[in-house]
Amino acid sequence: MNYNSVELAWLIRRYAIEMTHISHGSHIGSVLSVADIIAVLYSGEANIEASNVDNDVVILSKGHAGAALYVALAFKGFFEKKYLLTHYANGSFLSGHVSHKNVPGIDVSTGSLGHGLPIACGIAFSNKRDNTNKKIFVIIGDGECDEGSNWEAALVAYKFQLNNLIVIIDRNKMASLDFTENSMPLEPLADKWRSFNWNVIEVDGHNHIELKKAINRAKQNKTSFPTVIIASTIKGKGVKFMENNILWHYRFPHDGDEYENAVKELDACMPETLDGITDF
Amino acid sequence: MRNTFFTELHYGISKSKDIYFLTGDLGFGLINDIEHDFPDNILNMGIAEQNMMGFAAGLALTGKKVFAYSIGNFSTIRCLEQIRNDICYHDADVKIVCVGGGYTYGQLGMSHHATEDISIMRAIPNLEIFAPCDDIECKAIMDYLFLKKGPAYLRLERNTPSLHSDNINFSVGRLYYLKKNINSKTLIISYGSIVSEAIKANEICDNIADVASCPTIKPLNSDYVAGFIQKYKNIICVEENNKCGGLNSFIAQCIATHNLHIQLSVIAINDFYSSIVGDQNYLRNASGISCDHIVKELKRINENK
Repeated sequence: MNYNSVELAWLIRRYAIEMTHISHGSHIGSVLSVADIIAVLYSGEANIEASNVDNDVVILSKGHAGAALYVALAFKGFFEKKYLLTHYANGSFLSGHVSHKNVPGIDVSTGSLGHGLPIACGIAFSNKRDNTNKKIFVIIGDGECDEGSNWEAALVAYKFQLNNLIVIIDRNKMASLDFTENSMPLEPLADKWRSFNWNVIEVDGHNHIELKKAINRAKQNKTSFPTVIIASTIKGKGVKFMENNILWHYRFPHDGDEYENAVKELDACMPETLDGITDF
Repeated sequence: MRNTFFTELHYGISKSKDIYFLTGDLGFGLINDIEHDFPDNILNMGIAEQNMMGFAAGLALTGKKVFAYSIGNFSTIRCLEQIRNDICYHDADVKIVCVGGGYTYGQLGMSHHATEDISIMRAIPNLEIFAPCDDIECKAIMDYLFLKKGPAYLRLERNTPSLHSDNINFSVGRLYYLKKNINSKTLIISYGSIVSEAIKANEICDNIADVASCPTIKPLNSDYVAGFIQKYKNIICVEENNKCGGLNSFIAQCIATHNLHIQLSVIAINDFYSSIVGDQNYLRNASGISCDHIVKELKRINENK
C-alpha cells in the first residue's frame, strides 16, 4: 500500500498523538515538526520499499522524533501497524529514540545528537566508492547543530565530495529548554553551511511541493559538494495549541482537553482517502 | 610493535580492498608504504576523532573492515560515545587502534598518557580488547582481527623487543606462559610491553615465579582464568593502567567469585595524573610499576613464606 505525502503526514501526526498519549512519551513537538519531511521522503522521494534490498539510506539523527519514522515505516509495510502503540512500552523494541535492533527499515540507531551525520558520511563515502546510485539522507535538528561533531562531518563531507549526501535540517528554531537563538544562536545558519562549501537550499518544511523540489534538486546534484536543505518548520505543527511552545518538547497530551482537542483538530483535516484507516 | 602493525596492515589490505585505514592525521613516517601501494584505502580524517569513529561505523555498516587509528587517548576517550553507540551497539567491524598505551609518550605530558583506557574500554559492552606484549603477539592478534568481524580495541606501544621465543598459537582469552617452573606458587600476570619488566624482575629473583602474558583483556572467561591461577598462592598483576578497573580488577573479581585462596599484589598506576614527565621507564619508576617494584614485591612474598 502506497500513501502519498499528504496522507502519510496526516498518519504520522495522528498516530504520534495517540502513541505519546498512551505511552506518556516526550517529544511530540519534535515529531510534529518533522512529520512533513519524513512523509515526503517515505512517499517516494527517497527510494525506499520494504521489499527492496538496495534502498536509499535515511538516518534520523534527531532520534527523539522516532515516532514519526516508526509510523512511516509501518505504513510502508516494514512492520505491522499494531506495534506502533507499543512505543515506549515495557519490553518493546520501539524505543523512545530510534533503534535499529529488531526494527525493520531502520539501519542506524540514534539518540545522542550529533552522531547521525558522521555515520552518514561513512555510508555515503562507501557508496560513492562502490559507484552505487543510492542517496544518503540525514535528518538533523537545528538544536542538534550545536554539536561539534556535525561540523567535523561537514568538513569531511566536503573533503570527500559526498554529493550523494543530503542533509535535511528540521529548523523549528527550538531546542529543549529555549528557542535556539536564545540557547545557542545559530543564525546565519545557511551561511555557516555555505562557508563549509555545501550547497544550501532553503524551504518551507511544511510545504510538500517545496520539499519535493528541493530533494529532487539535491538528488540530481552534479557538483562536488554535498547538499543541505534547511527546512523552516514549526515545533508542534499541526496542533495549534502545541505550536511554538517549548512545553511540548516534553509534555505528552494528557487525558481530557489536551488529547481530545488534538484529536479533534487532526480528524478535521483527515484526508478522505484515509477514512476508517485508524484502529483507534 | 608499531611497525609490525603497519606491516600486517599493509599485508591485509593487499589481500582485501575492503579494508580501510583511517587516521586522525597521524602516522608520519609509518604509512608511506600503504599510501604508496594502496592510496585508496588510507583516509586521513583530520584532527576530528568523533567524526572519524562515526564515519568508521558508517563505512563498516556498508560491509567494509575499518582500522581507525590515533595516538594516546585520542582514539578512545576523545570519541568514547561514538565507540559505544555507533560502533559497539551496531556491532560494526571497526578496529580501534591506539599507539601509545600507558606511558609510551611519557615526555609529552598527561594529555598523552593513556593510563585509564583499559579501565574505560572494559566497561563498554561488545568490544574485544587486546594489548600485545611484543611483535609476535601483535602479529597473531592482527591475523585474528582480519578474520573476525566486530568491534575491537587494539592498544599498541612503540617499539618493543620480542618476549616470546616462538610464534604463539593465539586464541582469544588465553593466557600465555613466558616463564613456567615446575612448582612455582607465585604468578606474575601482565600485558603490554611492561611484561618485559615482569620478566626482568623475575630473573633478578632467580625466576622464582611463573610469568604469564594476558594479551586479551576482553573477553576473558572467569572460569578459564580461575582454572589457570588456582594453583598459585600469590599473584602479582602488573599493568600500565589505573588500578581502578583494569586487569587487576578482573583478577580480583575472579579470585573473589571463585573463592580462591590467593593474595593479589596490585602493581598498577595509583589513580593519579603524572604532572612530571619522562620516558616510559622513568615514569614507570615514578609510578611504582617498574621492575624494581616488582622485585620488591617478589622478595616480600618470598620472605613471608
